Amino acid sequence: MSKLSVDFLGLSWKNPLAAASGTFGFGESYKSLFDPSIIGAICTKGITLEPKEGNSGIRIWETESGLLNSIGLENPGIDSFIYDILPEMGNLGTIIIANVGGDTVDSYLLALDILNSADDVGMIELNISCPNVKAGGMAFGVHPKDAYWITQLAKQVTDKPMMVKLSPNAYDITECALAAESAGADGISLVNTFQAMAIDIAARKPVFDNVYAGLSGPAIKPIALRMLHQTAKAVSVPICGIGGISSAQDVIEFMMAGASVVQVGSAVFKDPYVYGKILAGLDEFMEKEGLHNISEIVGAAL
Amino acid sequence: MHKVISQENIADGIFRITVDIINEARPGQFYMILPPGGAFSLRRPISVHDSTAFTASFLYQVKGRGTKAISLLKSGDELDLVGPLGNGFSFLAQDSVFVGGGLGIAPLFYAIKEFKRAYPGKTAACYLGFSGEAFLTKEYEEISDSFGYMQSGFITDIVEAGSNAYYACGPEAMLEALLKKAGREAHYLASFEARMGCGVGACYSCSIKTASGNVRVCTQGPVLSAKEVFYEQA
Repeated sequence: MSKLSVDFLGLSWKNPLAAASGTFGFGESYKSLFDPSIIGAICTKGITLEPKEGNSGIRIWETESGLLNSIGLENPGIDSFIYDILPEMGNLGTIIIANVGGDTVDSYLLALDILNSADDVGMIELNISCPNVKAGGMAFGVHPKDAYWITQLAKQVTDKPMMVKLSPNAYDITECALAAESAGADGISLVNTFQAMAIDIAARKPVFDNVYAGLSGPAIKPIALRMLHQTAKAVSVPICGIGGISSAQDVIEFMMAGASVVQVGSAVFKDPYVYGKILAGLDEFMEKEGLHNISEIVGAAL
Repeated sequence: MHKVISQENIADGIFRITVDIINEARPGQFYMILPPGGAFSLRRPISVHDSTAFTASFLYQVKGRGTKAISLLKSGDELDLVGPLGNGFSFLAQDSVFVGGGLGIAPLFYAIKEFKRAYPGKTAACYLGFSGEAFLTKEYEEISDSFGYMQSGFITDIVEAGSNAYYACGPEAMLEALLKKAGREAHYLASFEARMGCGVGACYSCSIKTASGNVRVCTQGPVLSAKEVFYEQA
């Protein structure tokens, strides 16, 4: 067993890094720059039952220490994912996590049912936290009772290990995590983007057609870390940490706060080679600390 | 990281930066450039303006803090860029018309040079439109067989119709007007601009609607068939 390998939801990861949904396409995009098999797992772009065109207008906007996005879950739909994309994605040499979104409960459940036949999908990330779609999306991730309801139904349908991706815009993210756990979620991932906005002062109107967008990047890291720490104290299922991670230091902080694995998201836009750099940094840290496996630090700061 | 060879202030707010890099770019391709200083989360997609075997230059306008930071770089400084990315222009062996508007003239310089290199017997007519100060007109005139420019009005007014091949970059209104002039049967490719996150097709920030559904400007473009993009035009 290598120093960086970890077990998460019954799967053996070569390292605790995953590519966050929405920042890594379907794993093919960065192939000309580096081999994606160095990453422990790849979360797909959010997939919905039907294809979605996404939002109109500006979709991305740089902020101080971060960025706003309002993509609106543009994706080719579950059938195209399985027939057109997955055959190639399945050969990337890493774990594939299907990130599943939906407008209605039925659309989530139908998509999950179809994914049961997709052997190349190792895990499900139930996205109840997208802030950029009007119906569904985050609606299921704001109230604990909704998180409970959808998680329980999803678990009845899916045959695959499933983590529930939570929103920092929930009334109480720890309550939502507890609800998902008691509804049978195998794991929790947090956090999705923070609802935020920008204004075009010349036009005197919001930058985004959808008005509110999702903030990611280093700006959210300390808040995401705090939310993860609180959640880790409350639940006993494994947690995947997300939120502004861009360095080995960040990964170590999230793992010490209780994350078993983490996702790197928009940091890859700034530095396409960030994954390799983080892995090298983790090696260096373990060497210095005399660790045998990276999992030894999980929860060290709880 | 790549060494900056030169930084020229071409016109008010318009700069040209030349970087030491092995040229692999086709005309119409772009690089994702990270503004220096560590304060930026997104790279800026900037098309190749000119290139030699060991250099690439970029013509850009200072619009915000990112392009401002790039403009402050001096010869000898380093620049972080990823690319070349995108599809680039594919030329036909035909007399061709190149139309640029504003900063959209940028990719056409390398495009015209490469077109003439591939098809020396075919003519390149170049038309550049500016709103106000014109820049680099002499350089474009030198590499073109015929040349015209305007500092106000619609450059498409002086473009001669009847060619079979058009290549353009500029404001969407100009690109769309050129489609009317060229007609929908012409081979008309335009380089489109879009805000990008990744530049490699991962994030779907730069999607635009076309006749054949959404396309990502970064990977399926930035050079697209104009009639595919302006499909609603009668």
